[in-house]
Amino acid sequence: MNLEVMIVDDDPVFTKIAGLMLKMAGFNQLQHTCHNGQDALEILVQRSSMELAFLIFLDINMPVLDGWGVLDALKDYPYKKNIYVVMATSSIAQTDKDRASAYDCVISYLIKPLRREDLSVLLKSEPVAVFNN
Amino acid sequence: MREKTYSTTFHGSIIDKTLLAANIGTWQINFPDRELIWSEFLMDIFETGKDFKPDLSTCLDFFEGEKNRALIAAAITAVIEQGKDFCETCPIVTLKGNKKWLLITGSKAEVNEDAMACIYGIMQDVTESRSLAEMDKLENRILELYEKQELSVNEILSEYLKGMEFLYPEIYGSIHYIQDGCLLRCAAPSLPDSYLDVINKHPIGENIGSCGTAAYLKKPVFVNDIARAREWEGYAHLPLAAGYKACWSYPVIDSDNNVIAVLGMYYKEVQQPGNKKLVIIERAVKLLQLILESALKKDQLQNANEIMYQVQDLAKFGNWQWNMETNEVHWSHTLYNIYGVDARSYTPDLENYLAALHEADRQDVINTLRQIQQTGDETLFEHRIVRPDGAIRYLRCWARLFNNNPDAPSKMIGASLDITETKLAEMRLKSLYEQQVLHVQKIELQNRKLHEITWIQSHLVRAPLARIMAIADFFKNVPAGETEENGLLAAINESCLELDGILGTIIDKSEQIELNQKNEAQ
Repeated sequence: MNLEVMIVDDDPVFTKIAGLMLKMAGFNQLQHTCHNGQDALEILVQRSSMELAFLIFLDINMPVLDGWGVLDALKDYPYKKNIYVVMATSSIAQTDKDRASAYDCVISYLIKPLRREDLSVLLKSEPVAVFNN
Repeated sequence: MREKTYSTTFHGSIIDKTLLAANIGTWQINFPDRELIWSEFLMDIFETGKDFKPDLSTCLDFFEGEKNRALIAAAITAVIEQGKDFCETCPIVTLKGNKKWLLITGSKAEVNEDAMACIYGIMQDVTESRSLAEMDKLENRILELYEKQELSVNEILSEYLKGMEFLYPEIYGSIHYIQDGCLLRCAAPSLPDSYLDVINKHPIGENIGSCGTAAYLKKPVFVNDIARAREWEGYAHLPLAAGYKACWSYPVIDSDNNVIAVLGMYYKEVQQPGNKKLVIIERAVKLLQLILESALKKDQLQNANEIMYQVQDLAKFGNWQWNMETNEVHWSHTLYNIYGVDARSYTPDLENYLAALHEADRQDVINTLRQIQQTGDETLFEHRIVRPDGAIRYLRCWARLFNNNPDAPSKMIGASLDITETKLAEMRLKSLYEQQVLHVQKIELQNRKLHEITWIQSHLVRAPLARIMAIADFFKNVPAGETEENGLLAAINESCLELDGILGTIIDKSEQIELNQKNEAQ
């Protein structure tokens, strides 16, 4: 099974820097960049396959469809077991952290700006590490 | 002849004994020398001694008062001059100063047609029967006084003792209540205060004087010589100093076998028990029992009523009765207070009741009363009244029908509780609750605004800040020339402007909260 990376954020500066930092950290998979949740869902539908997993870096506050909307929609995604979400948000509110942890697909909650140390840990941790071997 | 003499003597002896038993002495005045002759018993009655030689003028002096002396003198003259028999009852004062009542008869005896031999008669000591009759009168007068209720019980009983002392001058009466095991002064019109003050509130007990002992033992105590009686040991000096040498005491026991009072009869001479005096005391005790027990029960009833009135006043609870046949309405005292009207001038009839109702409640009350009349159901209802001074009171009422006659209801009874304070408190509470709800709504509104600020700080403020931090980190860790520096610097500038705009929004929202608080304070 292959892994593809998806960065979902309406801030083009963030998507650009995050893309670079992920590559520098060792995330060498194919990257998709989306500026709202709706675009992200459309890519997932287009690339829907039981052989394909996604590591999604998901912002919360976005136009069209926010991060919560994406998480809710993923519950109906046919291969939701293959979806791993890392919340990448500027929100430091505990309520947002608690809310995010309630979703099964969320594996981590990172606060912007992304730190290289966090990305290195993520790379080596389950289930991402499996795809890098 | 011998037999006749014996018979005459025997007969005379019987007559003598009969006269003696009946307290009768004989007298006669012989003519023409007007010699007065008394039988021996008359000397006993007049307490003159056996050597006394009576004469007509001396005898008249024994009669009490000029009026009585004139009455007897006129009666004797009438017998002498007109042969007219007489029978009078008059008081005398004996040589020893004791008052007695005598029934006196007089008749003429003629030896021959030419000369009157003597006038003669009897004198009967009727003091006892006369006294008993006077006691009857006294008791009736006392009972009348008690029924009239113009005097206090103590005053009435004082009058009683005065009357008794008048009839029996040797007696000095006292009545003490027994309260909490102590003597409590009730009436003693002739005993000195110096003595009464000492025994007032003194505990009763065995050998605590005649009255204390009688009350304690619940039986009569007759002390004929105070100086020698064990009942007075340690106390004898008190009555002796006041001149009293004997004291008979009788407890007054009510129908529940409680000693409620004690009657004391003091004497200034050492006494011997006598049945006649005991009869008087027992009569007095029965009268005292009647008056005192009745007075105590009346007091208890009055106290119970007063307590009930006090409770009704405290609870602001009044009751009423409506006789539907006569349309008469009776209100308890408190109900007048609740309605703010004067019981002396207000007539609590249906018309006035309906007039006192709050206009908005009147029809409901009329409907409720009709319903009670129709169904007879016990009913609870509330309504307002308007007092004459305009004050509005809230009443919770209960009413039911008493139906003695199956064809027509005869009586409705009910009660009204003034719940104005509770109602007002309820209304205040409701108002406070409503104010509190408003406060909560305002606080919730403020909380929402604060939440918005928090959200802005968390999401919007941190977004450009995080971007700047990310760019700075990027510059630090990525070699120069490998980045699009101009683009990133422009991003920093945009982020700073964005941040500035967000801070302005936060300030606006904070100012809105402050403004709201000021408006609420005003």
